[in-house]
Amino acid sequence: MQTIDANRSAPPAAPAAASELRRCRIRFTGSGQEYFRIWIVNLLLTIATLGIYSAWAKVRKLQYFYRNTDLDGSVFDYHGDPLAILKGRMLAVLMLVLYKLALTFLGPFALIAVLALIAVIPWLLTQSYRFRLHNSSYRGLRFRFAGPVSQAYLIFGLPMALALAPGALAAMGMGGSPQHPAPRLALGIGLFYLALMLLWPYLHFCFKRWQHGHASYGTARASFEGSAWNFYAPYLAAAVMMLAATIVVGVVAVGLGLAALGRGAGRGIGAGFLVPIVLFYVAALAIMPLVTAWTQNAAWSATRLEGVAFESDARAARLIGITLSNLLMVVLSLGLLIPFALMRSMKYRIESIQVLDADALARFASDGKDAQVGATGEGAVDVMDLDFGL
Amino acid sequence: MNTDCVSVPRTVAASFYDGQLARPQAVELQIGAGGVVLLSPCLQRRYDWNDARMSERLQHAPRLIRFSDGTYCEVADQQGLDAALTAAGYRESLVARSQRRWSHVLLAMGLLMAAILSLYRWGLPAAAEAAARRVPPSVESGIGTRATAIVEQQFGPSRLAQPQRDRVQRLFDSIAPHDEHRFALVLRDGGPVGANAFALPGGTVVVTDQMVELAPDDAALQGVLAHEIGHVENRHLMRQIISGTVVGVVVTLIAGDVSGVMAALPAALANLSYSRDMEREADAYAVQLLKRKGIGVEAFADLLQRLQTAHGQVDAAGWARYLQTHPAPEDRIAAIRAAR
Repeated sequence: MQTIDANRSAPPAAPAAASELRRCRIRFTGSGQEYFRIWIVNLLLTIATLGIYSAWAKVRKLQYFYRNTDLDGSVFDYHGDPLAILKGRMLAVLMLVLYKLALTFLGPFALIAVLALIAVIPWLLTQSYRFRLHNSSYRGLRFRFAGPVSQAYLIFGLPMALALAPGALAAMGMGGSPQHPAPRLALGIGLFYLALMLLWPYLHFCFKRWQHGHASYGTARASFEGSAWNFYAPYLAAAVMMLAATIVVGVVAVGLGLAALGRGAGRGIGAGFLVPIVLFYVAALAIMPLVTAWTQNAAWSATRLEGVAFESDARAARLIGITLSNLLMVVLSLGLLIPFALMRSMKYRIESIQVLDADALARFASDGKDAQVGATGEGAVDVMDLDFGL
Repeated sequence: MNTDCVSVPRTVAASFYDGQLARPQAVELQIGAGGVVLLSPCLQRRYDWNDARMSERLQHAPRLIRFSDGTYCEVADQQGLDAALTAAGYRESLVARSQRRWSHVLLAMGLLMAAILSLYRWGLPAAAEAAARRVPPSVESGIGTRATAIVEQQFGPSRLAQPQRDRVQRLFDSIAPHDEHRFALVLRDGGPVGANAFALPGGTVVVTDQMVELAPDDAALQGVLAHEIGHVENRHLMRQIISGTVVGVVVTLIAGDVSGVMAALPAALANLSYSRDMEREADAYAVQLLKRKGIGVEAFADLLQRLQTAHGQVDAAGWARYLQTHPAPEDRIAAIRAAR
């Protein structure tokens, strides 16, 4: 695979020296105040039409994002058909309502609904990503995605199964009530979660390899040659930082507890619980962008499009700053500033990416096929609130 | 497209993409009422307006003219294109124009707030009530059975003496109606939860020992029981389950951009405000039931009054939790008194 790619990537003319390649940074020109207006009108029409318009709103939103993403003087474009998305959404809402009703009414058999959902989600995610890429274009050429569903079952199904298995075991009555689990069960649950934590960075790596490695643009196929270690490093750093944060929060909690005891009243206990919990959440939110930034860098540096390489240089500190100030903005404005927050973080993340050989872009050609992919996945994934990010 | 507007074609610079190669070709566009002509030293094409779709105008992004054969033009010169389009009689859709005007956006915001509030306030409760009435009794009692099992797991058995328990049961039997609901009383030790009473779907009313001990007399306790029976008769729990499901689905649907925490917030708030409405409904039912049974409502109102005045004092700790789930503002008490 690697050798074939290397052959293909050889430029037809005399090979240019690496230093002569013209780098080009992707630009994002979306603005908070402009997207705010689109967002409000979209929301109003969606509510006024009891959700029907949401499919058109989605197309408007994505076209806004794509058309404001500029690479070397040309912008991206989105071609999703609102009617196809609407059909997907209606199906997804039906599924979700059935799922929630099953959870409420079926009692012990609700497990079947959960298993059915786990079985269908990897397929939905694959369909969704296919639909998204097949309807994306740059300079008149469509992107494609040919990631196998079987890998999606490994990447999404395994973590879901690992996360839900302890609950399922407990539900099947392997011991104790939920409040008083048997020690053996507690150990089992611990092992499941430990396995999930250790596997998570590898699964994230597999996910990006699946997502980027099976994409194509016109006739050009993308490849992904990275090391899983580059995905373990950010999670490891985050884990160390989270541990440090936990110790600090623990010290604060003990301090508050002692202070409350000193006052001799039960009054301070509430704050004693609340302050550490809030601190813990803020710490987790502050550390997450580090993983986002570093895994984005790792994923793009590992991606090639027929010899065209990419580079991403997102800095963790910047993204943490953007994320925390966004959070403050959104909370203080009761959600009204969400569009501004979104544009800020999108701008930083997109503009971190560079194409290392911009002149090669003009050599890509169309594969001559028309995009015909069902939108079921696309709508469903939105409803279930699982998003892919970059 | 206004075709009867005849005008001189205006030219605008653009990049043309042929859909075959990812290479821009510089062209000049002549935009007229009948269509658009693409001109360059090595290219000449003409598209009817029927075969060309104009993208919305955005502040910082180039405008795209997509043609039916898969080719398109990218126009960076916003002003030039606008002038040419206006001269050719082109008008953008209402939505596209509204998105650009702050006055329209502010109007949309106002309408949005009004729509959300009225749907929350009237649409959803009405829909949930209608749906709850259609839930078959077997399903409702099925949920009730599971809920009862959970309650019995969470709360210890009652520590009240047998005569005391018999007395509460008698009071309950004296007011519980005989209809489609099979009413049952469950007495449990409140433990850390303290004095409380709640209704489960299907007709089970749970009362904690602490509640029985805190009620000054029979009539007050009957008031509390009647209030809970009111929740059952009005199917409040079913309605909460249904509206909770609907709010959850709708919120995840609309707020695609919002994180999970933010999305859960409106759902929680909605449930809180419904439970206030439902308290009033249950009060009204309790008052009617007590009156029919010849029991004074004064004791119940006094009990609520005492809860209200005691609220916030240290010795009222036992009541604090009851008040959290059963808010008793002055207007509620006044309404009960007025119904006397």
